[in-house]
Amino acid sequence: MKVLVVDDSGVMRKIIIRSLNSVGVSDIVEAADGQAAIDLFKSDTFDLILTDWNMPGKSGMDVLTEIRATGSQVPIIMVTTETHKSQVIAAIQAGVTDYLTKPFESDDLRAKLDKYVPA
Amino acid sequence: MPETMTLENVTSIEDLTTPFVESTTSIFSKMLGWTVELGTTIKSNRFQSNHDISGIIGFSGALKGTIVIGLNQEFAFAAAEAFFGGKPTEVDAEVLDMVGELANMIGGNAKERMTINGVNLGLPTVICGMGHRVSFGPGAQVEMLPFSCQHGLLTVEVGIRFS
Repeated sequence: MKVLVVDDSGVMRKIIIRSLNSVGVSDIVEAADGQAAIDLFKSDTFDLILTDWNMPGKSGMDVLTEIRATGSQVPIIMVTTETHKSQVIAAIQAGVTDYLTKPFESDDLRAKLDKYVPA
Repeated sequence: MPETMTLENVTSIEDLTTPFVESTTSIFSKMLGWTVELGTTIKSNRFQSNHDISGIIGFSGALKGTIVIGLNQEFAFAAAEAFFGGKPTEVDAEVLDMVGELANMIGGNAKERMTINGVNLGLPTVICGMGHRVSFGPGAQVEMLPFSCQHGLLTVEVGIRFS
């Protein structure tokens, strides 16, 4: 399983990667901003994308919209505190697969992986 | 706290205490496995920090204000070790980034718990230096929430301007 982790916070990327490692995922690529994520998506193949919502420059919503515009149905999970109804609706309309709400535990992440990336 | 909070029923800083307490305890419990316990809260609009590091993040829109999380170096090192698996030996960029992310998560999670539409969260800022002072300025209602755990003391200061 190859996972793309997108977050402008190096700390949050480390936290997510540590959680992924703890559930057995080691093939992980990092992107520090939305544009880097889109560039990586175009040059590589991923089984899952975990992206922050709020990032300077291109946001998680921008990443989601641009990837879905290519016709890709790769699972995209927003890792965020933003779960207000209007934001959820906007993300669903843009094609988000699911949310992982901060704070989260490794078990929460494992449940998402099991659901969207079957072994 | 009302089950569904609206801007109309938020008239004082005490109305916002619960979301910040729940947010803070939840983040430390879920992300670090730590139990942090709330002590006696204090109201003031000017705190002389006894901490080494402050993480600051602003609210705008329907609610205007600032939250400041304060912690000392040992607390920050212990948190970094729990997050990353290795204990830092100095307050480096990664430790400061972690404190900013803690402020971001506490503020963001509290914002979600408030369920008030139109509240925007800014980007976190981190200040490092023993004895620094954080002033919320005139007109702000401020409450300091002290939390303790085996790694020391953490404070969450919430300052809101009600107009």
